[in-house]
Amino acid sequence: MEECVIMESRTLFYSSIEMIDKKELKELQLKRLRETVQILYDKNLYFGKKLRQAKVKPSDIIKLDDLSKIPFTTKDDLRVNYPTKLVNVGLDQVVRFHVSSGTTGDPTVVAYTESDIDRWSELNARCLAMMGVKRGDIIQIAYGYGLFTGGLGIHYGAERLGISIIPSSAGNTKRQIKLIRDMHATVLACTPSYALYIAETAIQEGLEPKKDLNLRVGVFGAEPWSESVRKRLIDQICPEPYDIYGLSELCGPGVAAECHYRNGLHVWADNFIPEIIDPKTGEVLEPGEEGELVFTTINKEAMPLLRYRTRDVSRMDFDTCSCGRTHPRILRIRGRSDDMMKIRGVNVFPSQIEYVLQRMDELGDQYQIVLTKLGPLDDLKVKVEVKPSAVSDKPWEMVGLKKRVEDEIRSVLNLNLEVDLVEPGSLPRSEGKAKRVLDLRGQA
Amino acid sequence: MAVTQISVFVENKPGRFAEISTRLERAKVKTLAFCIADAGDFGIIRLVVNRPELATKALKGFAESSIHVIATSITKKFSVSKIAVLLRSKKINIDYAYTSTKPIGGNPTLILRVDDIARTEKALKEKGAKVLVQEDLS
Repeated sequence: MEECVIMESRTLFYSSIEMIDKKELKELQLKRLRETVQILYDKNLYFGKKLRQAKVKPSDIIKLDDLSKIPFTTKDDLRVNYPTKLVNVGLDQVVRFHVSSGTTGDPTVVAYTESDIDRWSELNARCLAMMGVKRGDIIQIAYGYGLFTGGLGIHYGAERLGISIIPSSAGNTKRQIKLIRDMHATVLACTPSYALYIAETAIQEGLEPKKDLNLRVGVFGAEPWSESVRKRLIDQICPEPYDIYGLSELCGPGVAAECHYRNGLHVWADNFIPEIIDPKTGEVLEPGEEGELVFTTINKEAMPLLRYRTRDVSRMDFDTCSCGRTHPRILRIRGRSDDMMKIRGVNVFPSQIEYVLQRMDELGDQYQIVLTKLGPLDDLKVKVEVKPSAVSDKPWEMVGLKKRVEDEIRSVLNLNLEVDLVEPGSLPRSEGKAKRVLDLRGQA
Repeated sequence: MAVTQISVFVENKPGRFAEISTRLERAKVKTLAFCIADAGDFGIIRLVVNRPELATKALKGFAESSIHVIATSITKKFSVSKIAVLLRSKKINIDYAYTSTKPIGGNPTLILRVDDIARTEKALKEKGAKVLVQEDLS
């Protein structure tokens, strides 16, 4: 039986490189790393200078471990070189710019050559094939198309795989539902929070999403999500939701994704070298330890990046997966270290709170974490929508529910907090990345 | 037997009851009895209406649930205190009670939330009190 599953999955590989021998993979990584370092050292003013300042010569990179000699790249490096100073080819070679939203400052620009787009397409095709998407499927892509990489990245992957695409882009939820329904879409690509919103809206329209929509696979990324959200996605919209990971600085979606074993996201290690570091000291951590994810691109032309700090917190597993793929896995992203909240000295990820909330059947999909100052102290409040099944004619029973949620979160975070039960539909919905945290502590 | 009570979850802020009563009015649902129970940041609005299914539809989007409650006519013979004494004699506990906004079938009506509806109904009927059914409300 086990073998059957594996045999079946093997038909779903996009490229033989997914099962490359581990030793060969390392050799390929080293070769490509050395080429990347050489080219940046020779041609890139900014990175060339950074390498020289760190006294690293391309000839110092003899084995893969030598990567740790190379200084990190951060989002600030991209900002100070705005808009195109990091582009490592003639601008006439660039066929595309994507610009990431500057939610926390100036935007950052990422450039692609024709072959960068080609490789990006292949990586996304690999991700989709790994999720069991195949010819005959119809994918509705409800990620934003445009400056954001989400829509176009998945689009190229789907095109490469030869499946039918409905490029619906984000927004206009009722039309999304109509199209999924009328066109019999089998695959939905969007953020997990938007997928739940689509399901909610469909129910309001009097539909039963699991019955009236024909969705099988969900390609859900662009924000971290937990196993309890997976359960909700399965219950509400599609039986096979998969996590896909990427960031625009590296290319966009397609850096890593889950296979049907769903025990971590395979990083395409022939294109990116992942590392986990201690965010404070910059030391590389042992496999299995939790820390900040760092990527070096080793197969890019327009804008290679050395040891780019993602701010995402995760762990790595280098064992070969049951699916047969040798590419290492990042365990699910616990959160972006930028999202990490420091509350009364305790580090808290929104995902920890989400995990508790989404496990409780009486609570809806939407929540908001509100941070304020109560005198000198941080005050944590969690607003969560209730479901009709939670409603009792006796309010004290609902106070009991509120207390139960508070206790559960308290036992996870070791922090006092207040939970506010709110009406369905009262919290803001998002068509893209959900904004779960409202930090008002800086305000008077 | 018994009538339907709709319990609606609302946040404790201005305008929530207005929203609910307006929606019911627009759907031509008659509210025959109601009561608001608060619990700090939120509350439960309990409603007895002539057409519960229509009301539920009109309240779409709200978190609400339905249960059965006893509706019994308040008359000369069955004053509120007489009803209470009668239930005491049967050791029936009243969780909460409220009265109708207008006479139903000629009499003001007492809405009773009790654990054992069947036993309460039997106790009232035995003594000749009028226990309303949902059809009496339409």
